[in-house]
Amino acid sequence: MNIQLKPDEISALLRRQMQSIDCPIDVMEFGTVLSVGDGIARVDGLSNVMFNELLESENGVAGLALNLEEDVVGVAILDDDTLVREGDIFKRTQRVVSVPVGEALVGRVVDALGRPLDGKGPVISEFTLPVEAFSPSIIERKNVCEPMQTGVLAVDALTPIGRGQRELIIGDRKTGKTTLAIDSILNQATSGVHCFYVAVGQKLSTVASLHQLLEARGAMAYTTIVVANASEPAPLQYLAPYTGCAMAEYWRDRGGHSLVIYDDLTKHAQAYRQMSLLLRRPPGREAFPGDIFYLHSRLLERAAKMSDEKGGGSLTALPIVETLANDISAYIPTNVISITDGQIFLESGLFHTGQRPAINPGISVSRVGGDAQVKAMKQVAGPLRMQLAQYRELEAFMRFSSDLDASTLEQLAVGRSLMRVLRQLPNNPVPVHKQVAALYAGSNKFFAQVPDNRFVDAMRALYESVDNSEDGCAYTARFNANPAMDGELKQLVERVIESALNPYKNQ
Amino acid sequence: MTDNDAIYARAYSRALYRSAVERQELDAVVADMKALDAQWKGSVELRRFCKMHHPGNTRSHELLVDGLWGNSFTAPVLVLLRTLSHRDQLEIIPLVIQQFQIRDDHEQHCTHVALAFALQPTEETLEQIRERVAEARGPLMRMQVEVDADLIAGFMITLDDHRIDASLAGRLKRLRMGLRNPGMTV
Repeated sequence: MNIQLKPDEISALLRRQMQSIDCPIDVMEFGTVLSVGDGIARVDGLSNVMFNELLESENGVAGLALNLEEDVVGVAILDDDTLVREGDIFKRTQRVVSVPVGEALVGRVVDALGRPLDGKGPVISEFTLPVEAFSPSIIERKNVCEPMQTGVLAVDALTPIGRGQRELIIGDRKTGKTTLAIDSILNQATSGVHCFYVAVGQKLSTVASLHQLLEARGAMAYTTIVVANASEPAPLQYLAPYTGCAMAEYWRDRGGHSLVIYDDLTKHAQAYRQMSLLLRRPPGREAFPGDIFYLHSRLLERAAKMSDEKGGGSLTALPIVETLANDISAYIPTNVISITDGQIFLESGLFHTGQRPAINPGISVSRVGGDAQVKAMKQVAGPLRMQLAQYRELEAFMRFSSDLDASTLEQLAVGRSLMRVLRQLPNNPVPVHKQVAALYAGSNKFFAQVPDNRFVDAMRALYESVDNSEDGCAYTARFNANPAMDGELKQLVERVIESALNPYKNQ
Repeated sequence: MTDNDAIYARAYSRALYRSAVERQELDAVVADMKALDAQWKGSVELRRFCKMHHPGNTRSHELLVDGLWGNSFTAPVLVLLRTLSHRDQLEIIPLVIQQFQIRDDHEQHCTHVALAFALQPTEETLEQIRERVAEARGPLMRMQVEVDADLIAGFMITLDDHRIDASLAGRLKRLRMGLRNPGMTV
């Protein structure tokens, strides 16, 4: 492709650009670096600096004023600290860190300061928002009343999430936490929800593969990825969740809906601990600073469902916390559990037995509950928790099944088929009407005569029948018109189930 | 000297100043620090001696300091010198003196004014600047004037931790930074 370069155009462009940034006289308040190391600079001067104010060095390195001592300011350097030397100058910008927000961020991969990482050119947005902001007040909020469908059957049935809710995903390493979160993003293709995935302290290869997956599935059309990987300085890892939240707040405050995933807050807490120790703040329990709770509470409180007067938008947060040896009574997990509106606990034992997603229904809870479910799902999933609890209690007797009475055996069979219904392939979200059909089949013993080795095929056939059969299309249309399990919908779903499962039943 | 010496010097100067104020001996301590500064600058042997390592206990360091300075200084200054000797930090004496001077200037509302011009300024210009600074910050000031050809044109004024950069070099630097990072909001 030949590009015709016109010198006049280039010089006019340069002149315009220079006029916008030209500043004949610069008046600044500055401080001189006394020492620098490990990402922290101690600066002399800056007598009027404000806490959390953004500072800038002469060679463009940004910093945050985090420690205001009597005659020294502790500055967390947001870039490579080898660019800062003793004697360098940091000047005040008289503002807090702001990031670009809006349409320009959709489909982009950016760092914690909003700078692009995907090689698609600069992020140019007319809107910016500070990364630290007040959470909405009581009057500005409304009860969570709309469902946020994740597409994961076990979550939407047992621990339903609503728009504006904070639901924690907690579990050991390699139990499917990120997969659950990504499925939630993939399921928002037609819901109009803007998604933000914040990667804190992760490997770049992991983030790259996630980006590829989202790109391949078309999810980047409504998703933004904010990255502060493991090799980034601790201050950037500390800022990244707030950056993602600020970008999501843009949509929330304009009547839109957004979903933010913080993956994960354990590494976020570790980065903050590192910064605080280097700033010589007094360490508390497990060497975390005293305000470690406030670090997460002020972040998660910004998730809200806004009132109708404020546009009715929402910001849903799915924070992820990693545990060690399934210990949810550790410091950071208990902190975040007490902040959020429920938790989804992924157990490594369940994962290794093949139950994936490995959600433990006994200790997973959603404090919003049925308010975040469509009526049909509420009707079908209502008895599910009790049935699963009874199944778990009877599981211990399974080895003695020959000694059990018929009703107990039947309960075990129903529980087993429900557990199998709740299994789902990764990155394969299921729409809510199909979830209702599957759960209805499981709860009402339609799978009783389907052998174990044909269960997966039977489930696939059920979903395909909902999509392709005449009864299935009628069921889908009726569900979309009025998602309540009344007589007509029940008849339709039973016809779909029977026609799909009959070929797989034992004769 | 290590990177932390500046921080230690500030801490020592702060403690010395507070002690002097509490004992109502500030003027005497200020005079002592000026005398110490003169001694340091005037004696190569003293500087060399203070940079050496001096092991020993508390009593031996007391004797060391008394041997060097006897009773010529006030009690707060002698305590400071003994502490520096005990911690093997006698070489940071000039930093402590500098920080003490800055602290004293700050408490007396004395402004540090540093002027840099691309060309030699006239006396009239300096007098105008002196008057404007006195109006804004009070009559007490320490003024340093230098000619720096690297500014290309214009001047730069530093008042304590405020700076007014009206030089051509500064303007070009800001343009360069702005062109290098288009669209950035940081």
